[in-house]
Amino acid sequence: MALEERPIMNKIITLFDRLIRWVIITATAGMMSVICLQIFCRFILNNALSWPEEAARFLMVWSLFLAAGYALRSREHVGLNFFVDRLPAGLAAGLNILLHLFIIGFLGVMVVGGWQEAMGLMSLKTGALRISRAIPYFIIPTSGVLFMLVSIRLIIEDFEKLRSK
Amino acid sequence: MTLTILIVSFILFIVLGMPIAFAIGISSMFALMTQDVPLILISHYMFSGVDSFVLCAIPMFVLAGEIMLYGGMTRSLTDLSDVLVGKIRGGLGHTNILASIFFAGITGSATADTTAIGSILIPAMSGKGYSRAYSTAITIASSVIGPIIPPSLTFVIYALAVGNVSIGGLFLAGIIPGILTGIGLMVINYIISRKRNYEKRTEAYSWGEILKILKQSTIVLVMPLLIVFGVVSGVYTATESAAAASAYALVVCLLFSRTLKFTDLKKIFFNSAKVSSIMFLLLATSNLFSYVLATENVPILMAETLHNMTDNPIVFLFLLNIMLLLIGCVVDLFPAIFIFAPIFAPVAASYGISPLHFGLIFCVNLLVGLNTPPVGSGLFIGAAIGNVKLEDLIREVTPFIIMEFVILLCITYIPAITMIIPKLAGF
Repeated sequence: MALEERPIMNKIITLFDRLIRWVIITATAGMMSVICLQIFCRFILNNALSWPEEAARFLMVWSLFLAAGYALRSREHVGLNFFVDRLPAGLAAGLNILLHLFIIGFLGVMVVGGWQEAMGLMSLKTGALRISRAIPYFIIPTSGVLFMLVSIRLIIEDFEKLRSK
Repeated sequence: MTLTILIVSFILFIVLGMPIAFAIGISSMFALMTQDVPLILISHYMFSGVDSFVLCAIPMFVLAGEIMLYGGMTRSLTDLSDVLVGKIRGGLGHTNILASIFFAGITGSATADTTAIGSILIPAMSGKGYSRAYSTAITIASSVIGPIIPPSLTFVIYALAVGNVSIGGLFLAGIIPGILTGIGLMVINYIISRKRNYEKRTEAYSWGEILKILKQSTIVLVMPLLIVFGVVSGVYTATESAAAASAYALVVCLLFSRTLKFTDLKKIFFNSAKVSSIMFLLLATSNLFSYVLATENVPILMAETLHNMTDNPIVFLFLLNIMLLLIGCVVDLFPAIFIFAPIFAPVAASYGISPLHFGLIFCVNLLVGLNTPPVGSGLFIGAAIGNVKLEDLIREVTPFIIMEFVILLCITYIPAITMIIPKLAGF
């Protein structure tokens, strides 16, 4: 059954979508702001801050790994379509499903490994911000799960293409 | 064994059309499975590859480019170019090339350049009698100039990957090669335009219009100058300069030209994150790929093989030209730099080639590879943006690509082209 036919599921997806978009937008805006703040403090106040570089890094990994999920959703990650475009549509859809199964396998390793490492880093503190080193690192399992959900969504799309043939 | 699996599975996935970021990651994972290493390394290397303040330059450069595009600042650059070169035969074609030189500056990314300038000039050119394929061809061919002329995100990534070369030095080294490429492409455009009798601008701008365009474009051109002077003088880093340029563009568009509303910001921040995330994920998995290559001693083997083949730097450079063109055809720009620059840069140094000169050869080579038929990814982006058939685009772009090959050879074998300005500046 297509996802659009399930209103509750749809609502949850929309909610998640909004939330993640806001995280991405605020993190990107925040990144620009803290870097500008760093320049301002160094030049105008003559007093370099220690934390903006670290904050910018963490905001970047959170914003961009999440945003990569959206790029995956709209199939915008660069790839070589030269050969696939020459296949019949049914075969191309089948091939896409297979490739996404490989991707899901890779993401599984990324999520499990990322989770283990994040747990191991829990009690360690970062150099400047003095927050747990697990906090920036949690983006790895988080984005891994997000990518998986997107991949499943793309597989469903390809299945529908196959069935409508 | 490990290497065979890495390379075979990588090529297989690429041919089957898997997104390159995942093709790089999954082939590395397969390679690691043959070794007795914990797979936890995968997430570890992905994270450590991108957790860097220098890389914050990516979203900041892209953000600056998006603000310029949505805020209509790109338009004033194309207007300025039209004032300067529109009267020559093939006027809009020259405008397209010159606008790449100006715009270049800001995003430093060939794709962004193609999108930004193409969206304005491809429709304008086809409206004035150029074929759509030709207009697109000139857009993608001139998009190579962007990343060569400073400020350039490509050189930032190169410096990060290689480690011991100065970003400011690379910026200065790119000036003459970039201008040379621009002139070369204009010559081709002139010849073709004469043959096909393409337009030139007949009506003159009034002084009032010229003054207005000059004023608007000066406000825009402050951005790249801000970045270049800051980085070259070492006052601030590339990342900081790009953030400052973004903030400057936001203030101009929101408060002075009023071309942006606060509600537009949501879209701009989101889009720039999405565009950057594509390069970002590529770098994350490329770091994993590099790790596998390093455990297999590929950098050392590569150096030994090359040294066994030749002691002559000219032959070495020629081999490199060919390898990089092939790599540039298949792998995207940033992962190619991230993976291969650290392997080849030390080899080049052992042949006595200056690091700045080598950086230029390396990046220009890959950039030209992006547009090289039949599989260069720049061609696909161009075909999509210009809405033209790939075959037509390839036919029209070929003379420009040949010119770029010639310029690439000049850059490679005449070090003075790249080295004069950095030497004068003391790099």
